[in-house]
Amino acid sequence: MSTNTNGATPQRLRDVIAAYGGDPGRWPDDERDGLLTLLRGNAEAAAARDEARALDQVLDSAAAPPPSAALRAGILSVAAPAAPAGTGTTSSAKVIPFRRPDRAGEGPAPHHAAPRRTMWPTAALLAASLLIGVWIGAAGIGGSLVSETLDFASLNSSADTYDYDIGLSEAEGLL
Amino acid sequence: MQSAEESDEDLMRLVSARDAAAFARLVDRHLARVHGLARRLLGRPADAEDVVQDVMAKLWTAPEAWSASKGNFPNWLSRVTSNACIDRLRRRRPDTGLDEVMTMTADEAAPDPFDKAFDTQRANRIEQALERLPERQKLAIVLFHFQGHSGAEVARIMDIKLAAMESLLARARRKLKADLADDLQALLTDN
Repeated sequence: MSTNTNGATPQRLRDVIAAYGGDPGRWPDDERDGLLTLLRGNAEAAAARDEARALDQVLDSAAAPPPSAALRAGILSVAAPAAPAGTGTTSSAKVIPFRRPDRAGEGPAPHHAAPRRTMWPTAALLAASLLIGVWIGAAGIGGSLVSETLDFASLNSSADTYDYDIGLSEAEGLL
Repeated sequence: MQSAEESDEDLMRLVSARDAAAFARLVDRHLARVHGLARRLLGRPADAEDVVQDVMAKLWTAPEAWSASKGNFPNWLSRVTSNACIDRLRRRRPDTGLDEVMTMTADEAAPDPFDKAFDTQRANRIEQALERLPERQKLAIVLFHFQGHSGAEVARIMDIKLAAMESLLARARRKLKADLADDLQALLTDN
C-alpha cells in the first residue's frame, strides 16, 4: 500500500474506536491522520466506527441540567462584602451554604435567618384570629357565621365557589 | 466587564487579591462544567450541588490551593471536583446500597425543577447506565465524553497512564453499549 499510515495498525484502529468513540476529532492528535487513512480501506473498522458513533449520539442526547441560579448565588455569597465590624464575620470566613429543600433528614440544616422571619406573619395571623373570635363572640353574631361556615364545609353545595365568595364578603363586612 | 483575553490564571490572581468581580467571572466560566461533572458522577442533584458549592467556594476562601505549577486550571478543577465526588460516593456507600442509590437517582431526577428542560425518561436511562459503571470507568467516560477533556488530559487528571485510561474508556463504552442496547435503536430513532 502506498498510503502513509504513520505506523497505525488495524488493531490500533479498533482499540482507538473502542476507547475514544466514532468521532475522529476526539482521537489522539498524533495518530489521527494515520488512523483515518487506514479507516478508508477497512470496512470492518468503518462499521465499528459507525456503531461507536451511534453510542456517542445516545450519550450526547442526555444533556446535564444547568446549574441553578440559587447555586450560583450561594457560591458567590462567600465573596460578599465583609459584615460591619463587631458582627464577628469576615468575607473570607462567612460561607452561606446553599441547601436544597429536599435535604430533609440528611443532617442538621444550616442556620438561616429566614425561618425566624417567617414565624412573625404566622404569629400575627393567629393573634388576629383570636381577636376576631373574641369580637364575634361578644357581638353575638357567631351563630350565623358558624352556620355559613358549616354550609360551605358541606360538599353537597352545587356552587361551593359562589358560597365561599359570599361567605368571605360577609365576613369582611362584619369586620 | 470580562476581557476575551482574560485567562483563568489572570482571574485567579485577581481572586487572590480579593477581587469579587473576578471571582464571579471565574465562577460563571466554569460553573456549568463543574456542575455537569458532579451531577454525572454523583447522580443525586442535591449531592452534586453540595460538592460544587464546596469546590467553587474554596476558589475564593483558599485561592492559594491552585498555582500555575499545578497545571492547566480547568484540568486541576476537574481533578479537585472528581476527588470531592469520589469522597462523597465513598462516604455514601456504608449507608446506602448501590441499588438504592440507583433508585434514588432516578426518583430524584424526575421531579427536580432543574430537569424540566431535559428529556427525563431518556436521561434517566443513560444516568442509570452510568451509575452502574465501576467508579473509575465512570470517571473516565464522564471526563472524556461529557466534559470534553482529551484522552491525555483524562489520564493526567486521573493520574494514570494513557494506556490504562484507554482501557477504562473502552470497558466503560462496552458496558454502556450493552446496557443501552435495548434503548439504542429507539433513542436514535427519536433523534
